[in-house]
Amino acid sequence: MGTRLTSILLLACTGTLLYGYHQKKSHRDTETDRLRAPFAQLAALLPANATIYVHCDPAYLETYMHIRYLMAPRTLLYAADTATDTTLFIWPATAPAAPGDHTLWYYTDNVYDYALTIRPR
Amino acid sequence: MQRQSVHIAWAVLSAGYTSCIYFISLLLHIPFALTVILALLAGSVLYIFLRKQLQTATPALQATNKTLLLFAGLLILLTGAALFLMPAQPAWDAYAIWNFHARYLEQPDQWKQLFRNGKFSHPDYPALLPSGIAFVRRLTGRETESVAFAIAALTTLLVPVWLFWETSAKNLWVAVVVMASFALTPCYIQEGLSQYADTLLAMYFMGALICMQQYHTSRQPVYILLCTAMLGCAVWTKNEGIMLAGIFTLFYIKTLFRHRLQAMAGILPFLVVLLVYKSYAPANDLVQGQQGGAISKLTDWSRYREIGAYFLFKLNNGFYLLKIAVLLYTVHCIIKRQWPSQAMLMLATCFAGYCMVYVLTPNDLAWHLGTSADRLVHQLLPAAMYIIATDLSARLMKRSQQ
Repeated sequence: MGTRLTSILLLACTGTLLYGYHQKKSHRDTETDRLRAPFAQLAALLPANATIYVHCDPAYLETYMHIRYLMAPRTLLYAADTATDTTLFIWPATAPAAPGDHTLWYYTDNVYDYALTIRPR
Repeated sequence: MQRQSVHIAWAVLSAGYTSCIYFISLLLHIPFALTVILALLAGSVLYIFLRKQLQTATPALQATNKTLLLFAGLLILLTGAALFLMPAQPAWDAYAIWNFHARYLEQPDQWKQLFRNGKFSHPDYPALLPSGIAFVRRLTGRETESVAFAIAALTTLLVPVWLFWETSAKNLWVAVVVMASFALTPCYIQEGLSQYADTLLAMYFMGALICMQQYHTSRQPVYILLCTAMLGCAVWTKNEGIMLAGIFTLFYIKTLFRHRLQAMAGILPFLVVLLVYKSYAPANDLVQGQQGGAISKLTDWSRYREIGAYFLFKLNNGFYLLKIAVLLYTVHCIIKRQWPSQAMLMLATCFAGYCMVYVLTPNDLAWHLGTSADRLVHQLLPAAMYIIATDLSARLMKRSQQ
């Protein structure tokens, strides 16, 4: 009786917490959520073993972490100088664009102000 | 051991073995269906082994209606507090480390790419949690974050539940206070639901202590096997687990050596899997960052002061109930002119070990403390509560018998 009750209660409480989390999640507006759609598009274009070198202003480290998470298992190497087919830039939105740059995502609010740009090599 | 405790021990060890089996299956390119069968088989064998062994080892204690009612009420209180305090998203290291690693381990063909992510990802961290998330993710098809949260929620609830059943066998009211104190420690709940691996590590370390305590009570070698299997799970969960398991082994070396076959059988599978995993991973950043200067750090007293002040701040602000419990325990030992128990001395050594990691850290000390000290307290919290509750229950029992 005790073991069964413990198991049932534990599962019920875990289920309740999971439901609560999904409720909170559906109302949140985090950086990962904002980045999910554009990076799902980018991920779809790249093979699973792709390596992307990311030039990232240290101020946008958190953005880099979220993008890296969303793009996994593709590898996003931080601040590498190695030339590859494509380089992803995370930098202030005001930074000048070079010819051929393709801005994938542009975001600005009271805290963040950045652009994510793909520069073909 | 309470019947409920046996089932909890079975569940958490099965999770540990499943994680190992999943990682080995990635390594050997074993089809996922076969991996599931192997995991089920391991769980079933462990269940049969435990049922057979523990039924003869200790009488199963039946919970009374009052105990069950109090337990249900406290679990609902804990869940309510967790619902109120839960974060809406995984914390930083969950994105950077645990869930991130799981996203690689979900991919049978790409998982080795995980080790290329050196910066901010700590690919050398052991993989019990990421492998577990990846296994459940592939089994259920649910997204990584939901699976990670479900595991975090279950673990956060399981620790106080296990403590309750272990303690209630000795003293019901001590068990009630212990479980209520978890519900009243917001830091524990928030840390637990942040989707980090610290609660898992804390649970396995506490599990090892529970099994060792059971061995001292019953003298059944099966508990040594369970104890070292718990330590194996701790080692396979986090690098800190290696230090905790090492200190634990030093403190109980006589007992473990007396039953060395059982001890090796418990920990060896996890050590082998860890060694294989580490052979792929780059060196740990703290170890790699040690480029001399250790002596000057060791003799720099301001570092000790800073570490002490920070831990005191954390105890005062996040873990005040733990602080009160430890203070009461210390005062009691002084009044009674008794040494703290062996388990408490072992825990104090673990804490001193953590402090030494900070003393020698190649990172900025303030940053390192600020980003990890509360998690280290969190890792030792369940074990500390278990030791204090067990000692207190034993002394209350002795007094009532007099």
